[in-house]
Amino acid sequence: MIPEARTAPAPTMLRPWRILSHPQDWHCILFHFICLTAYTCAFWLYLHPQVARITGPWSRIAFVLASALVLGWISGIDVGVNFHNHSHRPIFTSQFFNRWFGRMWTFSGGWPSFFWEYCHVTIHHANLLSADDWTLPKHTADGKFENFQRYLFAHWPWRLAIHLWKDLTARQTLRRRSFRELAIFLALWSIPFWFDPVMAICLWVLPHWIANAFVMNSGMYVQHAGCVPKTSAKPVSHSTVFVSNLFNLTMFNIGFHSEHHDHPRVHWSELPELHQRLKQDLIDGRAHVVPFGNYHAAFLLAGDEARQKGFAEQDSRYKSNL
Amino acid sequence: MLHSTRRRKRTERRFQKTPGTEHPSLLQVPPQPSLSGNELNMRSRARVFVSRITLVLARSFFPLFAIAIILGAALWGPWVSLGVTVIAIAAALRLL
Repeated sequence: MIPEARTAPAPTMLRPWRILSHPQDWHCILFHFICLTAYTCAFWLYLHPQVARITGPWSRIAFVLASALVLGWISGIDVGVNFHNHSHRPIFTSQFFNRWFGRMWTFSGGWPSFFWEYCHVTIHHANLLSADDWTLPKHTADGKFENFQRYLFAHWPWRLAIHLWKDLTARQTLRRRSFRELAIFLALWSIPFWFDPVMAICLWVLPHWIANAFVMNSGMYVQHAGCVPKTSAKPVSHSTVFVSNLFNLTMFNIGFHSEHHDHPRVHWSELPELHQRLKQDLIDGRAHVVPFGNYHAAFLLAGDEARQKGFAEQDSRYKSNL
Repeated sequence: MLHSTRRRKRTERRFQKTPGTEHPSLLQVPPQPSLSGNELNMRSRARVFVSRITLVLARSFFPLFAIAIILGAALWGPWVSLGVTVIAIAAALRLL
């Protein structure tokens, strides 16, 4: 962590009357509420087909596909990026708000918030790229990540469920809390099923699968593909940095991933500034920096060897002269 | 004995009255009202407001786009929504 961030007093100490920990955190809340509004609109139109010009089974399929794709896309960002920031730096000054808003945040992405935090903070950040980091793709015999598509389809919820079961039932304190959180999640997650089970499968379960398999899993894959564990010899080769301005603007600066792993407590809105300060270290340390975002990286890594070479290319502004 | 009162020389007003009013016009404020350079005016406030709104809209771009696609089905039908979604995903995979 940078010295200024370490020595700076906590926002709650500076302004005890504040609800939010950081002034820009209301963007996170707004983003989540717009996502919930999108789900509500989709449900309402599904239940009122004449308004959505759904005249038969084919037009219903078209509506469900269009809605599920965009809902899955935004849910993947809402949990994988937006809630992710909250798991590192809670957005409210009140613990109660943090806990309950978190629960009502991740259920629209198919996750109990406690499970997501456990996977990301306790497993991924603490054991990055080691054998204990089961959130990342498995390694092949030559040390590379497993096939991109295999990871996308096998990880959520299958592998995750097995690992979570083993980890969270191992200790009594974790087990009790996990069952409580799972019960709260199931109560919230089942709400669309009360209205229409078919609608819930089409516009709730399907978007959650898209969010996890294609947005969150692909994000995890591209952020660490071709990377090595952090050592003194290679201090910034554990993550790829995505410096596309449009990507970082619309994705809460998640592209500055190396900086985020090294300084997870730095607020997401301050990552561009931190990136500028650490830019020379990234160049000298030969960090992998690419000029695009996660989506194009996923497109490249999902292709054949020729296309995958495009991902390995370095941004021309970050080439080392050493 | 009454002294004749000397008529005070009329000082130049800093701001000229606008015709038909007793008050100086705001339009006649000089280009730099204070030397500090920290004064607030409507233009700088508007600029801050517009930049903040732009930032919020940009950060919420994807969920707003999703709402447009979903509600848009009521305007142009589900097939157009599906087409626009496919094009948007293809564009994101190529450009973002």
